[in-house]
Amino acid sequence: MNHIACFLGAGIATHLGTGISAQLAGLQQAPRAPQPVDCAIGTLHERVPYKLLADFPLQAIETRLYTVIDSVIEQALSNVALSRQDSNAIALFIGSSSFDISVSEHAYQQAQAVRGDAIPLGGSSSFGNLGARVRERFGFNGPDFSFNTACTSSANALWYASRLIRSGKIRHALVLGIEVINHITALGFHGLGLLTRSVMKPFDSARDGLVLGESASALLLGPGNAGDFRLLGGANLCDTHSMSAANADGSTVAAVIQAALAEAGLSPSSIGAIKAHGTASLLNDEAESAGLLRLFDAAALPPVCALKPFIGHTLGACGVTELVLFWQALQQGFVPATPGIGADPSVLGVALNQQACSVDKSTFLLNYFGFGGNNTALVIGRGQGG
Amino acid sequence: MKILAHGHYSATVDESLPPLKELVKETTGEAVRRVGRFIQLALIGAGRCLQGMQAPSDTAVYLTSGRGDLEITLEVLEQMVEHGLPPKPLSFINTVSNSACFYLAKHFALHGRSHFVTRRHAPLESVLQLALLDMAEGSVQTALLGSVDICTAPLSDHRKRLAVASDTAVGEGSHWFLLAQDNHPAHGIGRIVAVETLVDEQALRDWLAAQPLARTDTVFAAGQHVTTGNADALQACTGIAQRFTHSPSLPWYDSHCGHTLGQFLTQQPAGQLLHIDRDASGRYNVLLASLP
Repeated sequence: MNHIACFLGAGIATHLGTGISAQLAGLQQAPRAPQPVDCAIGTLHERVPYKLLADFPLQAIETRLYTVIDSVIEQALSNVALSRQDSNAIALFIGSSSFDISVSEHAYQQAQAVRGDAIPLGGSSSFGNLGARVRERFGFNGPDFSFNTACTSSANALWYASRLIRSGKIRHALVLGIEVINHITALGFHGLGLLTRSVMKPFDSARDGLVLGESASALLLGPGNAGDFRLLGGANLCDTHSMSAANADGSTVAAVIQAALAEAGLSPSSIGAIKAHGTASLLNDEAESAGLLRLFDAAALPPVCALKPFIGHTLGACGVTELVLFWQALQQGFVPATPGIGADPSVLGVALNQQACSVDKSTFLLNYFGFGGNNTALVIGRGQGG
Repeated sequence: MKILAHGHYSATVDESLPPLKELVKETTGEAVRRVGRFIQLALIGAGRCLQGMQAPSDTAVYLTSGRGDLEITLEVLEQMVEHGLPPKPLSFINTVSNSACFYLAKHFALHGRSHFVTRRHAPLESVLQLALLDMAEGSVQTALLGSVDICTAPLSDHRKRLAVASDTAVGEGSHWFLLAQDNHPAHGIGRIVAVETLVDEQALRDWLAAQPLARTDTVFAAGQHVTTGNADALQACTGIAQRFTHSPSLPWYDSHCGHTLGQFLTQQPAGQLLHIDRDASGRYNVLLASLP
């Protein structure tokens, strides 16, 4: 028997603010440049451009992480009336590149400053600690899964959560995407020379690099009503072309989109709009545009939007975070636009949506690509039946 | 879900970490450069599982670990804090756990889905649950699935990270299984019958009551987080007389479950294995496997 996994409730915190209405307001403003953030660890000190969470000042690192997670989960649960039994049985899916490494870094740095011979990751360190903490805090007793597949982490988590519900193994799932600033990520990307101090410009010949962003997002999945948005299909494939970028010929990007459409039982012509991964690196833009053009007729390409100019690249959290932004914008009747960014299709054959527009189709594609050749595509849409 | 092949590496580690470079070359047939212990152990375990066999190119890769690539994360942290240097690009990229999946896929020419998934106190069980789902849906035909746990020096620090006593023997493990759908034509060496996460003891009892277990032909294994006293009670709860024990006892690392499953397939002490572990919140993670 097939069960359905509708999007029942969402919580979100990004650079645009906290809650859905703050995101929708921010998506209708022009994207802004990031602020430089002091990253100081040991004798290393850099100012790294970042889009930090708007409403959570960068202090008390551990408390801040747990507070923002609690906030988005509470938002996601707030409008859904679950029985005590259903609430207790919620399965937890977490996707992150960094989990609680910010807390471990901070503890090491503090101990090192005091003693000078501190042990890095000195407390019991485990990917599963964050999940255990969330389960305990909210009383979720279903199975939990922590995904660490770079920038596709929470997209993959969402895909499995939805399918486990459809299989009947679980009834409700809470999918959490979380990414907060930490020194390894900030200084790692800084060292790679991939960051820009200006606005991210995906699919634009004036691209200058990416901006890192923080976000926490939570999505509650479970049985809903006919016509509710849900995940219709998805796919993940490993691209062994390169550790850090998809094949620029678009073949592997096209393959994963094709597989996601197949799982959804749809053809490219059914897609009303596309949420691009859009990291504003030349390699990503080339691979993604070439992949799209292998499947979609260039003359009939649906509106393509990129959300990272608004919130930065939120890495492992971007799967759920960008899905929530995209879904909520669609619910409000518009595909987000980035006026002046990615406006010229003559270079790569793909231009970004320049003016918020409505679409008359009810199925949508979302792309995500990560280090380690991890490519994921998701298809969302309104259900046709209960 | 059928198990077509199994391969593993496990070792107790004394103060110096055994070099793995030659073992990687011996197992995979080539020297793999610029990778650390975590990726080396993944290649060794997976290579021993495949034994030179070419798996279908759409084979999925599922990797799990309690703590991932601790070595590379420590290297990056120490480099920043003690030497004031930013992460080296390759080191930084390899801090992402699925980097190991990339090396596995690249080396064994696989292009299917690829995931690093874990759960505190039940890493292998978590990833097996997802593989079972994929197989049941028919979206994955074959899969290379394994757990990898490494040691880092000095071991006194490593024990603190594992939160074990200072005299606890610690080690490394890499346990791999080539899996296929039940209707796959190849001969299997075993089957994963079920993997469940059960909320409490009553749920465990209910689940056990619903299983068609041939108790006289089943061996019970207590997971590594079950204390000796609780293991007796748990075994009594199952009604199974035969107990699986590791001889010699295993050094501590996070994914003993993979070792137990591998030993069951090799030693064949009974027709079925029931492995039960209990986590800190009182949930039970249950693995039921059988011989063909």
